[in-house]
Amino acid sequence: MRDVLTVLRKEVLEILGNRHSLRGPLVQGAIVFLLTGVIVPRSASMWSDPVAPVLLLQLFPAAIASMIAADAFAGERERRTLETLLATPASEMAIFLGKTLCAVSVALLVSCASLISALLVANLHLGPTSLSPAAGLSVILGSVAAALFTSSLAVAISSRVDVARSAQQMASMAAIAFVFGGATLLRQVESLTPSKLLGIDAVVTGVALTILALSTRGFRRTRLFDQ
Amino acid sequence: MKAIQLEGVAKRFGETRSLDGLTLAVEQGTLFGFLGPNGAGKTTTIRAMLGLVLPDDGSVRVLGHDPGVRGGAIRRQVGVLLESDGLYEGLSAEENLEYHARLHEMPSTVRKERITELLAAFGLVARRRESVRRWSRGMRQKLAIARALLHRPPLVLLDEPFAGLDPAAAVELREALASMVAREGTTLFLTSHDLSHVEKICSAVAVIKAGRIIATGTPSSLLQSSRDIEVEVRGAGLSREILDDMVREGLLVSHSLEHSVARLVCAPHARPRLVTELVRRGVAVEEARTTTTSLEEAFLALVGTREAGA
Repeated sequence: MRDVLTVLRKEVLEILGNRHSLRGPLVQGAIVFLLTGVIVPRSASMWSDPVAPVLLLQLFPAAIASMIAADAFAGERERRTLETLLATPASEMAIFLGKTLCAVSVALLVSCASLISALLVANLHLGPTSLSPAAGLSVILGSVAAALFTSSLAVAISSRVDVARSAQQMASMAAIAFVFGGATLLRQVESLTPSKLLGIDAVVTGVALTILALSTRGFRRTRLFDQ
Repeated sequence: MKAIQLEGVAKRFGETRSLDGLTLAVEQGTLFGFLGPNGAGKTTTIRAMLGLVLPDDGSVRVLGHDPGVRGGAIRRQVGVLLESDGLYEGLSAEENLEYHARLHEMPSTVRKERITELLAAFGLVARRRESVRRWSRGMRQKLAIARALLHRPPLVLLDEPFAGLDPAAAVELREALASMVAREGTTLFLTSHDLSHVEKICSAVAVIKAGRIIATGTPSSLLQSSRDIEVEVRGAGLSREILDDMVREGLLVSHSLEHSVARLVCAPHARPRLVTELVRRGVAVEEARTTTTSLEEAFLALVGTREAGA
């Protein structure tokens, strides 16, 4: 667990210190925040459906997680830091989890900031507006589940692709498919409530953890150099 | 106990044979130089020791462990500087060292103290909070070496540690490494193209070519075995006839004579008999000294000879 936190800490420091290589995710984060936390909440129609704001605030930040996670291995390989990292005693699992958790944390941060901003904007623009506690909880837990899903997929892609840009493109496509496909599918569910969404989030989390476990199992230090 | 022991290690990457029955042993506490031309298999050997590459054949033992089975235990006890310095450009020097210290589970009090100690030893304290992106190659190299020594590992693997360092810094590093080995009993395994440093610092060397060890021993034994020896002889009675006669008898490979000084080239096995044979032929030998050959010349001769013979 200590190694997971160490990797997570380094990833966060790198995001803060290496703005050049992570400019994409930062710009994407700003766009998602503006969209979900400032522009869309000004529309009254968003708040007329109890599920709409929840879906918006939990699904879109997952795309940022995907971008960050896609840089995890391909980026390190490109910047020639991966071999030195793999020469440390850190386990494959710790490296995978640390990198995934960093991406999830950023998505959660954007999601929470957007939630607070959305409520402020709506109250200022549309008058008294609120979300039920279940909806608020669903935003937070759902954003974790969605980000976990997209980032575990992106880390799996990143561990198999040499170039960070290619990994990010592939992961972005997967994230877009997840966000829009997920939103469309969820809209098909009859009488969808924030509470039902929590159940769906649990399933998504389970799937994400399975992907993560499978990609960690498939990732071996030797595989990276055996070619 | 041997710090490193490789027996008949073979590794292929597709059609390319990177290691071809490599056998190597490094005693604990040794400062070992691993020499070879580009593409000889040096990096693959280091990767095999770290468990980053699994050999197709043969056995690898590092600090008593098999990297394929107990790679984690090896990586915990080894400090490395690989082909690339592996530094995170977005992080400062301190943050880079801190990250690796944490991965090596160093307690926080020891960690801070050790980081400060190493940054001071390498003259990097003043810029410790600066992102390493702006650092020169030499400074980055020093930081990467500091990182390899951070957790006081019993075995340190350094790939080209002198690359990018100015001559003064390289000498300083050489001395620091030598004193560390003497003080802490660390085993140091280094590859270098700068053979003048290897010659001065290493107590044992091996030369690898096309995935095989072609010579091993002390730097001086390598010099002896690698090529014919040049001996400068001063004395009365030296003549071309005598020297030509010695060439015909196989005692000399070639010679040149100027006044009373002869430059003789002989095979290593003929060197002990050289003075006796000259005296037997009536030469009053005043002085006979073996002209020194640098390890670099020996290395080039070795690699070239084996290439020609291959």
